Amino acid sequence: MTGNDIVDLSAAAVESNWRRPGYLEKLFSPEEIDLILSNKDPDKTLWRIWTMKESAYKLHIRMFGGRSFAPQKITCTLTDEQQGEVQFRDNRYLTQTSQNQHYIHTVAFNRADRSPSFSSCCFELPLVNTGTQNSFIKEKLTSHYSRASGTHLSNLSLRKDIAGIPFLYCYFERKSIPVSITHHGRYAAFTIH
Amino acid sequence: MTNEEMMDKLRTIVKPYVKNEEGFARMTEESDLLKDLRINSANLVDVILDIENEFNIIIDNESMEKMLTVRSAMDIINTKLSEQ
Repeated sequence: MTGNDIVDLSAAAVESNWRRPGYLEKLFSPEEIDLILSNKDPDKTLWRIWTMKESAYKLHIRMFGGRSFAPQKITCTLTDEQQGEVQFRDNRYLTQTSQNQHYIHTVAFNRADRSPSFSSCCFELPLVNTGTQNSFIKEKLTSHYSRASGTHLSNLSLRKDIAGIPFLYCYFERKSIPVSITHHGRYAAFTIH
Repeated sequence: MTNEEMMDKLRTIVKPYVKNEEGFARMTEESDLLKDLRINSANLVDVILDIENEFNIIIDNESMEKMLTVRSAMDIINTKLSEQ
């Protein structure tokens, strides 16, 4: 299974003032704050670490349940430009980050999953209302899976379980495929397992 | 402070971060800050810092963990105010 998270960098610059007093200390460990402030691009480092925390948290919730807002307990180490590790409540997750000038996107997977088989896709959203954007994401995800698996679109339905966690349901095979969806500002992404 | 007064203060605090205006119009103690009001999780910390400033309290990490609904926010504020 996977969890994923995207940050639209220009939306984040408008929505979040991480320089306000007390902000960093509530979200990050002292080691993470050092990494952020010592980097020549603190914004990108901050949002990379944030997407690592969020994607690992989503994966954790999917496996164990139990919502909380404890970003400080989700601790991150950066292995290289793309790879990282996240520790949360006795569990370790690996992360893979991709970024460009517009967004930062991270996928988290299980540490035991050495060669995780997932497909992931990032894309720009049309400038329309939230409802239409949600339909756009839904259509993009189902057509992506339909093409990749050779399954007809009419066999697929994107659903949510009681906890609000999305999955793709195949009517014919009666099987559920875990998916993770993320959306921020003008960008969205998903992973399919 | 009455519950209604605290609700009014909380409405003013969360307003700038709310992404779901319908959820905001129907905001009650039961509202989930992330799911119903669709506050971005990176902005949840702004809500917490604004609550600290408005009520002149410190919200420790243990309390912050539970800050997912309007009710839990009100409980935490009441507890912190009574400790003063």
